[in-house]
Amino acid sequence: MSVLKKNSYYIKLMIPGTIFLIIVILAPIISTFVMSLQSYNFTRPSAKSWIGLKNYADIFTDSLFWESIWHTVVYTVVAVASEFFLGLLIALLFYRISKENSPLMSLFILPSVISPVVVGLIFRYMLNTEFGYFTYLLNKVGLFKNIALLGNVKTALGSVIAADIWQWTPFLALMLLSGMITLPQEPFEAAKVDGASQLDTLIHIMLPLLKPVIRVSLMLRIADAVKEFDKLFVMTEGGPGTASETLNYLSYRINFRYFQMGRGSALVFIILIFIILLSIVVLRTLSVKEDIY
Amino acid sequence: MKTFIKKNSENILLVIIVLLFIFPIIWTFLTSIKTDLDAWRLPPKYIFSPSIKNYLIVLFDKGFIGFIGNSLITCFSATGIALLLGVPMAYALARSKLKINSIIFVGVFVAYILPPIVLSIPLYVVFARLGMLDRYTTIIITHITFILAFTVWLMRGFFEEIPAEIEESALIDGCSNTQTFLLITLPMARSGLVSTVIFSFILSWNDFMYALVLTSSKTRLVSVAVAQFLTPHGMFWGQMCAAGIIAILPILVFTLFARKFLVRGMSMGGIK
Repeated sequence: MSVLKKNSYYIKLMIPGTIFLIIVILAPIISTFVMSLQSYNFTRPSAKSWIGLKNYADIFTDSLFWESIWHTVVYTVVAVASEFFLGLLIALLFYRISKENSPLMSLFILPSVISPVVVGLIFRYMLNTEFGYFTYLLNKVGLFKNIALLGNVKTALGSVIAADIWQWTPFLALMLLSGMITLPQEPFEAAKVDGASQLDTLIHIMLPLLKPVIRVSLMLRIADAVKEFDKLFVMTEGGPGTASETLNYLSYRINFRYFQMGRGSALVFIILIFIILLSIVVLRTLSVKEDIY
Repeated sequence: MKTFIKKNSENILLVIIVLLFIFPIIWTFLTSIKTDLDAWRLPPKYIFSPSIKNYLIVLFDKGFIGFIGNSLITCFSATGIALLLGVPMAYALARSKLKINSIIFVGVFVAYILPPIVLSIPLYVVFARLGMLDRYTTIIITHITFILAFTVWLMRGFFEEIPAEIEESALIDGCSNTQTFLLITLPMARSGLVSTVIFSFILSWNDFMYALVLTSSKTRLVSVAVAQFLTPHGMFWGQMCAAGIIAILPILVFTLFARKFLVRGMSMGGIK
Protein backbone atom coordinates (compact mmCIF):
# COMPACT_ATOMS: atom_id res chain seq x y z
CA MET A 1 0.00 0.00 0.00
CA SER A 2 1.19 3.49 -0.77
CA VAL A 3 2.67 5.61 1.98
CA LEU A 4 0.30 8.42 1.08
CA LYS A 5 -2.79 6.25 1.59
CA LYS A 6 -1.41 4.93 4.84
CA ASN A 7 -0.72 8.47 6.08
CA SER A 8 -4.21 9.65 5.24
CA TYR A 9 -5.54 6.74 7.30
CA TYR A 10 -3.43 7.76 10.29
CA ILE A 11 -4.52 11.38 9.93
CA LYS A 12 -8.17 10.27 9.99
CA LEU A 13 -7.54 8.47 13.27
CA MET A 14 -5.98 11.55 14.83
CA ILE A 15 -8.55 14.13 13.73
CA PRO A 16 -11.35 13.60 16.33
CA GLY A 17 -9.03 13.64 19.36
CA THR A 18 -7.03 16.57 18.04
CA ILE A 19 -10.14 18.64 17.37
CA PHE A 20 -11.37 17.92 20.89
CA LEU A 21 -8.05 19.00 22.38
CA ILE A 22 -8.04 22.20 20.30
CA ILE A 23 -11.58 23.17 21.32
CA VAL A 24 -11.42 22.28 25.00
CA ILE A 25 -7.76 23.00 25.77
CA LEU A 26 -6.14 25.29 23.24
CA ALA A 27 -9.10 27.67 22.91
CA PRO A 28 -9.49 28.11 26.70
CA ILE A 29 -5.74 28.72 27.04
CA ILE A 30 -5.91 31.47 24.42
CA SER A 31 -8.95 32.98 26.10
CA THR A 32 -7.07 32.93 29.43
CA PHE A 33 -4.37 35.02 27.83
CA VAL A 34 -6.96 37.41 26.38
CA MET A 35 -8.63 37.73 29.80
CA SER A 36 -5.26 38.45 31.41
CA LEU A 37 -5.10 41.66 29.34
CA GLN A 38 -8.41 42.85 30.70
CA SER A 39 -9.77 44.30 33.86
CA TYR A 40 -12.48 41.72 34.44
CA ASN A 41 -14.47 40.77 37.50
CA PHE A 42 -16.83 37.85 36.91
CA THR A 43 -19.45 39.31 39.25
CA ARG A 44 -19.50 42.58 37.27
CA PRO A 45 -19.16 41.46 33.64
CA SER A 46 -20.27 44.86 32.24
CA ALA A 47 -17.26 46.65 33.76
CA LYS A 48 -14.80 44.88 31.44
CA SER A 49 -12.03 46.94 29.85
CA TRP A 50 -8.71 46.44 28.05
CA ILE A 51 -5.75 47.38 30.21
CA GLY A 52 -2.84 45.80 28.34
CA LEU A 53 -0.15 44.39 30.58
CA LYS A 54 -1.28 46.22 33.72
CA ASN A 55 -2.40 42.97 35.41
CA TYR A 56 1.11 41.60 35.01
CA ALA A 57 2.69 44.85 36.24
CA ASP A 58 0.41 44.78 39.30
CA ILE A 59 1.30 41.17 40.02
CA PHE A 60 5.04 41.79 39.86
CA THR A 61 4.78 44.65 42.37
CA ASP A 62 2.55 42.66 44.74
CA SER A 63 4.40 41.29 47.77
CA LEU A 64 1.82 38.48 48.09
CA PHE A 65 2.88 37.21 44.67
CA TRP A 66 6.56 37.03 45.64
CA GLU A 67 5.65 35.46 48.95
CA SER A 68 3.63 32.80 47.13
CA ILE A 69 6.51 32.16 44.72
CA TRP A 70 8.79 31.65 47.70
CA HIS A 71 6.34 29.19 49.28
CA THR A 72 6.07 27.34 45.98
CA VAL A 73 9.85 27.09 45.68
CA VAL A 74 10.27 25.89 49.29
CA TYR A 75 7.43 23.40 48.88
CA THR A 76 8.73 22.02 45.60
CA VAL A 77 12.41 21.82 46.53
CA VAL A 78 11.99 20.36 50.02
CA ALA A 79 9.23 17.92 49.05
CA VAL A 80 10.71 16.64 45.79
CA ALA A 81 14.28 16.38 47.14
CA SER A 82 13.15 14.42 50.23
CA GLU A 83 10.93 12.19 48.13
CA PHE A 84 13.79 11.49 45.75
CA PHE A 85 16.29 10.48 48.43
CA LEU A 86 13.81 8.46 50.47
CA GLY A 87 12.43 6.92 47.28
CA LEU A 88 15.91 5.98 46.08
CA LEU A 89 16.78 4.28 49.40
CA ILE A 90 13.54 2.32 49.44
CA ALA A 91 13.86 1.39 45.74
CA LEU A 92 17.38 0.07 46.42
CA LEU A 93 16.06 -2.03 49.28
CA PHE A 94 13.31 -3.47 47.03
CA TYR A 95 15.90 -4.07 44.30
CA ARG A 96 18.29 -5.95 46.58
CA ILE A 97 15.57 -8.35 47.64
CA SER A 98 14.00 -9.01 44.27
CA LYS A 99 14.70 -7.89 40.74
CA GLU A 100 11.03 -7.54 39.91
CA ASN A 101 8.00 -5.72 41.28
CA SER A 102 6.84 -7.49 44.42
CA PRO A 103 3.32 -7.59 45.88
CA LEU A 104 4.62 -5.38 48.68
CA MET A 105 5.09 -2.60 46.12
CA SER A 106 1.38 -2.47 45.34
CA LEU A 107 0.63 -1.89 49.03
CA PHE A 108 3.45 0.61 49.32
CA ILE A 109 2.16 2.60 46.34
CA LEU A 110 -1.22 3.25 48.02
CA PRO A 111 -0.45 6.78 49.30
CA SER A 112 0.32 7.88 45.73
CA VAL A 113 -2.87 6.54 44.17
CA ILE A 114 -5.55 7.34 46.75
CA SER A 115 -7.43 10.64 46.36
CA PRO A 116 -5.20 13.61 47.22
CA VAL A 117 -8.16 15.15 49.06
CA VAL A 118 -8.23 12.13 51.33
CA VAL A 119 -4.47 12.44 51.90
CA GLY A 120 -5.17 15.98 53.08
CA LEU A 121 -8.01 14.80 55.32
CA ILE A 122 -5.93 12.02 56.84
CA PHE A 123 -3.17 14.46 57.77
CA ARG A 124 -5.61 17.09 58.95
CA TYR A 125 -6.99 14.45 61.28
CA MET A 126 -3.64 12.98 62.37
CA LEU A 127 -2.20 16.46 63.05
CA ASN A 128 -5.26 17.75 64.88
CA THR A 129 -4.27 19.40 68.17
CA GLU A 130 -6.73 17.55 70.38
CA PHE A 131 -7.40 14.18 68.77
CA GLY A 132 -4.56 13.74 66.28
CA TYR A 133 -2.46 10.60 66.74
CA PHE A 134 0.66 12.15 65.18
CA THR A 135 0.35 15.21 67.41
CA TYR A 136 -0.04 12.87 70.37
CA LEU A 137 3.12 10.92 69.41
CA LEU A 138 5.11 14.10 68.71
CA ASN A 139 4.07 15.62 72.04
CA LYS A 140 5.02 12.41 73.81
CA VAL A 141 8.61 12.75 72.61
CA GLY A 142 8.52 16.43 73.53
CA LEU A 143 8.10 17.97 70.09
CA PHE A 144 5.71 20.76 69.10
CA LYS A 145 4.07 20.95 72.51
CA ASN A 146 1.17 23.42 72.67
CA ILE A 147 1.47 24.18 68.96
CA ALA A 148 -1.39 23.78 66.52
CA LEU A 149 0.69 22.36 63.68
CA LEU A 150 -1.70 23.40 60.91
CA GLY A 151 -2.68 26.68 62.55
CA ASN A 152 0.80 28.02 63.24
CA VAL A 153 2.59 30.33 60.81
CA LYS A 154 5.86 28.48 61.33
CA THR A 155 4.63 24.91 60.94
CA ALA A 156 1.68 25.06 58.50
CA LEU A 157 3.63 24.85 55.23
CA GLY A 158 5.98 22.24 56.71
CA SER A 159 3.04 20.06 57.70
CA VAL A 160 1.65 20.08 54.17
CA ILE A 161 5.13 19.27 52.85
CA ALA A 162 5.28 16.30 55.26
CA ALA A 163 1.97 15.05 53.87
CA ASP A 164 3.35 15.48 50.34
CA ILE A 165 6.45 13.45 51.21
CA TRP A 166 4.29 10.69 52.63
CA GLN A 167 2.10 10.76 49.52
CA TRP A 168 4.77 10.81 46.79
CA THR A 169 7.82 8.94 48.11
CA PRO A 170 6.24 5.62 47.03
CA PHE A 171 5.74 6.99 43.50
CA LEU A 172 9.41 7.89 43.16
CA ALA A 173 10.45 4.57 44.66
CA LEU A 174 8.30 2.76 42.09
CA MET A 175 9.64 4.81 39.18
CA LEU A 176 13.25 4.27 40.24
CA LEU A 177 12.72 0.56 40.90
CA SER A 178 11.03 0.12 37.49
CA GLY A 179 14.05 1.83 35.96
CA MET A 180 16.50 -0.36 37.91
CA ILE A 181 14.76 -3.56 36.81
CA THR A 182 15.27 -2.74 33.13
CA LEU A 183 18.99 -1.95 33.51
CA PRO A 184 21.51 -4.22 31.72
CA GLN A 185 23.39 -6.49 34.14
CA GLU A 186 26.83 -6.46 32.45
CA PRO A 187 28.17 -3.17 33.90
CA PHE A 188 27.31 -4.36 37.42
CA GLU A 189 29.03 -7.71 36.94
CA ALA A 190 32.09 -5.96 35.54
CA ALA A 191 32.15 -3.64 38.56
CA LYS A 192 31.91 -6.63 40.90
CA VAL A 193 34.83 -8.30 39.15
CA ASP A 194 36.85 -5.09 39.48
CA GLY A 195 36.08 -5.06 43.19
CA ALA A 196 34.14 -1.79 43.25
CA SER A 197 32.35 -1.02 46.51
CA GLN A 198 28.55 -0.95 46.58
CA LEU A 199 28.50 2.80 47.07
CA ASP A 200 30.84 3.31 44.09
CA THR A 201 28.66 1.05 41.95
CA LEU A 202 25.61 3.06 42.94
CA ILE A 203 27.17 6.47 42.24
CA HIS A 204 29.24 5.68 39.15
CA ILE A 205 27.17 3.03 37.41
CA MET A 206 23.58 2.84 38.55
CA LEU A 207 22.68 6.52 38.89
CA PRO A 208 24.17 7.53 35.50
CA LEU A 209 22.29 4.66 33.83
CA LEU A 210 19.09 5.76 35.56
CA LYS A 211 19.47 9.38 34.48
CA PRO A 212 16.57 9.46 31.98
CA VAL A 213 14.16 7.87 34.48
CA ILE A 214 15.34 10.18 37.24
CA ARG A 215 14.94 13.28 35.11
CA VAL A 216 11.48 12.42 33.85
CA SER A 217 10.11 11.40 37.24
CA LEU A 218 11.57 14.51 38.90
CA MET A 219 9.99 16.72 36.23
CA LEU A 220 6.61 15.05 36.71
CA ARG A 221 6.90 15.55 40.46
CA ILE A 222 7.95 19.20 40.06
CA ALA A 223 4.92 19.80 37.84
CA ASP A 224 2.70 18.15 40.47
CA ALA A 225 4.23 20.13 43.33
CA VAL A 226 3.78 23.42 41.47
CA LYS A 227 0.11 22.68 40.83
CA GLU A 228 -0.54 21.33 44.35
CA PHE A 229 -4.02 22.32 45.44
CA ASP A 230 -6.04 19.57 47.10
CA LYS A 231 -3.97 19.08 50.26
CA LEU A 232 -3.55 22.83 50.77
CA PHE A 233 -7.30 23.34 50.40
CA VAL A 234 -8.12 20.67 52.96
CA MET A 235 -5.26 21.15 55.44
CA THR A 236 -4.62 24.90 55.68
CA GLU A 237 -6.51 26.80 52.96
CA GLY A 238 -3.23 28.58 52.35
CA GLY A 239 -3.23 29.84 55.93
CA PRO A 240 -2.93 30.84 58.65
CA GLY A 241 -3.24 34.16 56.82
CA THR A 242 -1.17 33.47 53.74
CA ALA A 243 1.56 31.48 55.52
CA SER A 244 1.20 28.41 53.31
CA GLU A 245 -0.16 30.01 50.15
CA THR A 246 1.56 28.82 46.97
CA LEU A 247 1.27 30.48 43.55
CA ASN A 248 -1.36 27.97 42.47
CA TYR A 249 -3.42 28.55 45.62
CA LEU A 250 -3.12 32.33 45.26
CA SER A 251 -4.50 32.07 41.71
CA TYR A 252 -7.40 29.98 42.97
CA ARG A 253 -8.21 32.58 45.64
CA ILE A 254 -8.01 35.55 43.27
CA ASN A 255 -10.13 33.78 40.65
CA PHE A 256 -12.73 31.89 42.63
CA ARG A 257 -12.98 33.73 45.94
CA TYR A 258 -12.63 37.31 44.67
CA PHE A 259 -13.64 36.52 41.06
CA GLN A 260 -10.98 38.97 39.79
CA MET A 261 -10.57 36.88 36.69
CA GLY A 262 -8.51 39.37 34.70
CA ARG A 263 -5.76 39.45 37.26
CA GLY A 264 -6.30 35.80 38.09
CA SER A 265 -5.81 34.83 34.47
CA ALA A 266 -2.48 36.67 34.41
CA LEU A 267 -1.35 34.65 37.45
CA VAL A 268 -2.45 31.44 35.79
CA PHE A 269 -0.65 32.35 32.60
CA ILE A 270 2.60 32.66 34.54
CA ILE A 271 2.09 29.13 35.89
CA LEU A 272 1.29 27.91 32.38
CA ILE A 273 4.51 29.28 30.89
CA PHE A 274 6.48 27.48 33.59
CA ILE A 275 4.66 24.20 32.85
CA ILE A 276 5.28 24.53 29.10
CA LEU A 277 9.01 25.10 29.67
CA LEU A 278 9.09 22.06 31.94
CA SER A 279 7.30 19.94 29.30
CA ILE A 280 9.87 20.86 26.70
CA VAL A 281 12.67 19.72 29.02
CA VAL A 282 10.87 16.41 29.70
CA LEU A 283 10.26 15.70 26.03
CA ARG A 284 13.88 16.53 25.19
CA THR A 285 15.00 14.02 27.83
CA LEU A 286 12.72 11.38 26.36
CA SER A 287 13.88 11.90 22.78
CA VAL A 288 17.53 11.80 23.90
CA LYS A 289 16.78 8.47 25.59
CA GLU A 290 15.31 7.05 22.37
CA ASP A 291 18.47 7.98 20.50
CA ILE A 292 20.61 5.98 22.91
CA TYR A 293 18.68 2.75 22.45
CA MET B 1 14.79 -16.85 65.73
CA LYS B 2 17.98 -14.81 65.75
CA THR B 3 19.29 -16.39 62.56
CA PHE B 4 15.88 -15.91 60.96
CA ILE B 5 16.06 -12.20 61.68
CA LYS B 6 19.62 -11.98 60.43
CA LYS B 7 18.83 -13.85 57.24
CA ASN B 8 15.75 -11.79 56.51
CA SER B 9 16.79 -8.45 57.96
CA GLU B 10 16.26 -6.64 54.67
CA ASN B 11 12.85 -8.22 54.15
CA ILE B 12 11.81 -7.30 57.66
CA LEU B 13 13.03 -3.73 57.25
CA LEU B 14 11.07 -3.41 54.02
CA VAL B 15 7.88 -4.77 55.58
CA ILE B 16 8.26 -2.28 58.45
CA ILE B 17 8.74 0.61 56.01
CA VAL B 18 5.68 -0.42 54.00
CA LEU B 19 3.61 -0.75 57.17
CA LEU B 20 4.74 2.72 58.32
CA PHE B 21 3.62 4.16 55.01
CA ILE B 22 0.18 2.59 55.05
CA PHE B 23 -0.32 3.13 58.79
CA PRO B 24 -2.19 6.46 58.37
CA ILE B 25 -4.67 4.75 56.04
CA ILE B 26 -5.18 1.89 58.52
CA TRP B 27 -5.58 4.40 61.35
CA THR B 28 -8.21 6.29 59.37
CA PHE B 29 -10.06 3.04 58.77
CA LEU B 30 -9.93 2.19 62.49
CA THR B 31 -11.34 5.60 63.40
CA SER B 32 -14.13 5.13 60.87
CA ILE B 33 -15.38 2.01 62.70
CA LYS B 34 -15.12 3.55 66.17
CA THR B 35 -17.97 5.22 68.00
CA ASP B 36 -17.52 8.99 68.43
CA LEU B 37 -16.64 8.54 72.08
CA ASP B 38 -13.85 6.08 71.29
CA ALA B 39 -12.60 8.19 68.38
CA TRP B 40 -11.98 11.17 70.68
CA ARG B 41 -9.99 9.25 73.26
CA LEU B 42 -6.27 9.97 73.66
CA PRO B 43 -4.19 7.94 74.38
CA PRO B 44 -6.20 5.99 71.82
CA LYS B 45 -8.25 2.93 72.64
CA TYR B 46 -6.63 0.09 70.75
CA ILE B 47 -9.26 -2.49 71.55
CA PHE B 48 -12.83 -1.45 70.94
CA SER B 49 -16.05 -2.86 69.59
CA PRO B 50 -16.39 -1.89 65.92
CA SER B 51 -19.49 -0.21 64.56
CA ILE B 52 -20.60 0.57 61.03
CA LYS B 53 -22.80 3.44 62.23
CA ASN B 54 -20.53 6.07 60.65
CA TYR B 55 -20.79 4.41 57.24
CA LEU B 56 -24.58 4.24 57.45
CA ILE B 57 -24.77 7.92 58.38
CA VAL B 58 -22.38 8.96 55.60
CA LEU B 59 -24.03 6.82 52.91
CA PHE B 60 -27.67 7.54 53.68
CA ASP B 61 -28.01 10.68 55.83
CA LYS B 62 -25.22 12.64 54.13
CA GLY B 63 -26.20 11.48 50.66
CA PHE B 64 -23.01 9.67 49.68
CA ILE B 65 -25.00 7.05 47.77
CA GLY B 66 -25.93 9.86 45.37
CA PHE B 67 -22.39 11.31 45.22
CA ILE B 68 -20.96 7.87 44.47
CA GLY B 69 -23.50 7.58 41.65
CA ASN B 70 -22.45 10.99 40.30
CA SER B 71 -18.78 10.05 40.45
CA LEU B 72 -19.40 6.71 38.72
CA ILE B 73 -21.44 8.31 35.92
CA THR B 74 -18.66 10.86 35.39
CA CYS B 75 -15.81 8.32 35.57
CA PHE B 76 -17.36 5.81 33.19
CA SER B 77 -18.57 8.36 30.63
CA ALA B 78 -15.34 10.35 30.62
CA THR B 79 -13.13 7.25 30.49
CA GLY B 80 -15.23 5.69 27.70
CA ILE B 81 -15.28 8.77 25.48
CA ALA B 82 -11.61 9.51 26.09
CA LEU B 83 -10.71 5.96 25.05
CA LEU B 84 -12.74 6.22 21.85
CA LEU B 85 -10.95 9.45 20.93
CA GLY B 86 -7.55 8.66 22.40
CA VAL B 87 -6.74 5.05 21.50
CA PRO B 88 -6.90 5.55 17.70
CA MET B 89 -4.95 8.77 18.14
CA ALA B 90 -2.24 7.02 20.17
CA TYR B 91 -2.06 4.25 17.57
CA ALA B 92 -1.66 6.75 14.73
CA LEU B 93 1.03 8.63 16.69
CA ALA B 94 2.92 5.39 17.36
CA ARG B 95 2.84 4.15 13.77
CA SER B 96 3.01 7.19 11.50
CA LYS B 97 6.01 9.40 10.81
CA LEU B 98 4.22 12.63 10.01
CA LYS B 99 5.81 16.01 10.59
CA ILE B 100 2.81 17.13 12.64
CA ASN B 101 3.28 14.26 15.13
CA SER B 102 5.82 16.06 17.28
CA ILE B 103 3.58 19.14 17.58
CA ILE B 104 0.58 17.00 18.54
CA PHE B 105 2.73 15.10 20.99
CA VAL B 106 3.96 18.26 22.73
CA GLY B 107 0.34 19.40 22.91
CA VAL B 108 -0.73 16.10 24.44
CA PHE B 109 2.04 16.21 27.02
CA VAL B 110 1.25 19.78 28.02
CA ALA B 111 -2.41 18.76 28.36
CA TYR B 112 -1.31 15.79 30.50
CA ILE B 113 0.53 17.89 33.09
CA LEU B 114 -1.64 21.02 32.75
CA PRO B 115 -2.61 22.43 36.17
CA PRO B 116 -6.44 22.30 36.51
CA ILE B 117 -6.50 25.97 37.48
CA VAL B 118 -5.46 26.90 33.91
CA LEU B 119 -8.56 25.41 32.33
CA SER B 120 -10.97 25.94 35.18
CA ILE B 121 -11.16 29.72 34.73
CA PRO B 122 -12.11 29.86 31.03
CA LEU B 123 -14.28 26.73 31.30
CA TYR B 124 -16.07 28.18 34.33
CA VAL B 125 -16.74 31.42 32.48
CA VAL B 126 -17.99 29.68 29.34
CA PHE B 127 -20.13 27.08 31.11
CA ALA B 128 -21.59 29.73 33.44
CA ARG B 129 -22.59 31.84 30.42
CA LEU B 130 -24.21 28.81 28.79
CA GLY B 131 -26.04 28.05 32.04
CA MET B 132 -24.34 24.66 32.18
CA LEU B 133 -22.71 24.67 35.62
CA ASP B 134 -23.64 21.68 37.77
CA ARG B 135 -24.48 19.40 34.82
CA TYR B 136 -23.08 15.97 34.02
CA THR B 137 -22.12 17.07 30.48
CA THR B 138 -19.92 19.85 31.86
CA ILE B 139 -17.92 17.78 34.32
CA ILE B 140 -17.63 14.88 31.85
CA ILE B 141 -16.24 17.12 29.07
CA THR B 142 -13.80 18.62 31.55
CA HIS B 143 -12.60 15.23 32.77
CA ILE B 144 -12.08 14.07 29.18
CA THR B 145 -9.44 16.80 28.75
CA PHE B 146 -6.94 15.21 31.10
CA ILE B 147 -7.99 11.57 30.58
CA LEU B 148 -7.65 11.90 26.80
CA ALA B 149 -4.16 13.35 27.11
CA PHE B 150 -3.19 10.62 29.58
CA THR B 151 -4.65 7.87 27.34
CA VAL B 152 -2.72 9.06 24.30
CA TRP B 153 0.49 9.43 26.31
CA LEU B 154 0.25 5.94 27.82
CA MET B 155 -1.19 3.98 24.88
CA ARG B 156 1.36 5.35 22.44
CA GLY B 157 4.04 3.70 24.57
CA PHE B 158 2.16 0.39 24.62
CA PHE B 159 1.56 0.44 20.84
CA GLU B 160 5.22 1.12 20.20
CA GLU B 161 6.09 -2.10 22.01
CA ILE B 162 4.15 -4.09 19.39
CA PRO B 163 6.22 -4.78 16.26
CA ALA B 164 4.75 -3.26 13.08
CA GLU B 165 5.74 -6.34 11.03
CA ILE B 166 2.77 -8.32 12.39
CA GLU B 167 0.43 -5.69 10.97
CA GLU B 168 2.13 -5.75 7.60
CA SER B 169 1.57 -9.47 7.18
CA ALA B 170 -2.09 -9.01 8.13
CA LEU B 171 -2.39 -6.31 5.47
CA ILE B 172 -0.83 -8.61 2.87
CA ASP B 173 -3.36 -11.28 3.83
CA GLY B 174 -6.08 -8.85 2.81
CA CYS B 175 -7.16 -7.21 6.09
CA SER B 176 -8.17 -3.57 5.83
CA ASN B 177 -6.37 -0.96 7.95
CA THR B 178 -9.24 -0.82 10.42
CA GLN B 179 -9.50 -4.61 10.63
CA THR B 180 -5.77 -4.85 11.30
CA PHE B 181 -5.99 -2.23 14.04
CA LEU B 182 -9.09 -3.65 15.73
CA LEU B 183 -8.46 -7.40 15.31
CA ILE B 184 -4.66 -7.70 15.42
CA THR B 185 -3.03 -4.75 17.17
CA LEU B 186 -5.64 -3.83 19.78
CA PRO B 187 -5.92 -7.35 21.26
CA MET B 188 -2.14 -7.46 21.56
CA ALA B 189 -2.20 -4.17 23.51
CA ARG B 190 -4.97 -5.32 25.85
CA SER B 191 -2.93 -5.40 29.06
CA GLY B 192 -1.80 -1.84 28.32
CA LEU B 193 -5.41 -0.97 27.66
CA VAL B 194 -6.45 -2.35 31.05
CA SER B 195 -3.75 -0.26 32.79
CA THR B 196 -4.94 2.81 30.89
CA VAL B 197 -8.60 2.23 31.80
CA ILE B 198 -7.79 1.69 35.48
CA PHE B 199 -5.65 4.82 35.64
CA SER B 200 -8.13 6.93 33.70
CA PHE B 201 -10.80 5.85 36.13
CA ILE B 202 -8.60 6.74 39.11
CA LEU B 203 -7.67 10.14 37.66
CA SER B 204 -11.31 10.99 37.11
CA TRP B 205 -12.40 9.65 40.50
CA ASN B 206 -9.64 11.58 42.32
CA ASP B 207 -10.18 14.93 40.58
CA PHE B 208 -10.94 17.64 43.07
CA MET B 209 -10.43 21.10 41.61
CA TYR B 210 -12.60 20.79 38.50
CA ALA B 211 -15.33 19.20 40.59
CA LEU B 212 -15.02 21.96 43.20
CA VAL B 213 -15.38 24.73 40.62
CA LEU B 214 -17.86 23.22 38.15
CA THR B 215 -20.28 21.14 40.23
CA SER B 216 -22.62 21.86 43.11
CA SER B 217 -25.66 20.20 44.69
CA LYS B 218 -26.98 18.24 41.68
CA THR B 219 -23.77 16.65 40.38
CA ARG B 220 -21.47 16.82 43.42
CA LEU B 221 -18.67 14.28 43.21
CA VAL B 222 -17.34 12.16 46.09
CA SER B 223 -14.05 14.09 46.33
CA VAL B 224 -15.79 17.40 46.97
CA ALA B 225 -18.34 15.82 49.29
CA VAL B 226 -15.50 14.43 51.42
CA ALA B 227 -13.87 17.85 51.75
CA GLN B 228 -17.20 19.27 52.91
CA PHE B 229 -16.92 17.38 56.16
CA LEU B 230 -14.52 20.11 57.20
CA THR B 231 -16.65 22.71 58.86
CA PRO B 232 -15.53 25.49 61.17
CA HIS B 233 -17.97 24.32 63.87
CA GLY B 234 -17.12 20.92 65.24
CA MET B 235 -15.86 17.93 63.34
CA PHE B 236 -17.30 14.49 63.19
CA TRP B 237 -14.01 12.67 62.79
CA GLY B 238 -15.58 9.23 62.66
CA GLN B 239 -17.90 10.20 59.84
CA MET B 240 -15.16 12.08 58.07
CA CYS B 241 -12.88 9.04 58.17
CA ALA B 242 -15.71 6.82 56.92
CA ALA B 243 -16.25 9.22 54.02
CA GLY B 244 -12.51 9.19 53.31
CA ILE B 245 -12.42 5.38 53.25
CA ILE B 246 -15.42 5.33 50.89
CA ALA B 247 -13.62 7.80 48.65
CA ILE B 248 -10.54 5.57 48.35
CA LEU B 249 -12.46 2.28 48.14
CA PRO B 250 -12.25 1.86 44.34
CA ILE B 251 -8.49 2.31 44.54
CA LEU B 252 -8.18 -0.25 47.33
CA VAL B 253 -10.17 -2.67 45.16
CA PHE B 254 -7.88 -2.08 42.17
CA THR B 255 -4.87 -2.66 44.42
CA LEU B 256 -6.25 -6.01 45.52
CA PHE B 257 -7.48 -7.30 42.16
CA ALA B 258 -5.38 -5.55 39.54
CA ARG B 259 -2.09 -4.71 41.19
CA LYS B 260 0.04 -5.66 38.20
CA PHE B 261 -1.89 -3.29 35.94
CA LEU B 262 -1.76 -0.57 38.57
CA VAL B 263 2.00 -0.79 38.99
CA ARG B 264 2.62 -1.12 35.26
CA GLY B 265 0.38 1.82 34.40
CA MET B 266 2.03 4.02 36.96
CA SER B 267 5.59 3.26 35.92
CA MET B 268 4.76 3.55 32.20
CA GLY B 269 3.14 6.94 32.75
CA GLY B 270 6.50 8.43 33.48
CA ILE B 271 9.03 6.21 31.83
CA LYS B 272 7.91 5.86 28.23
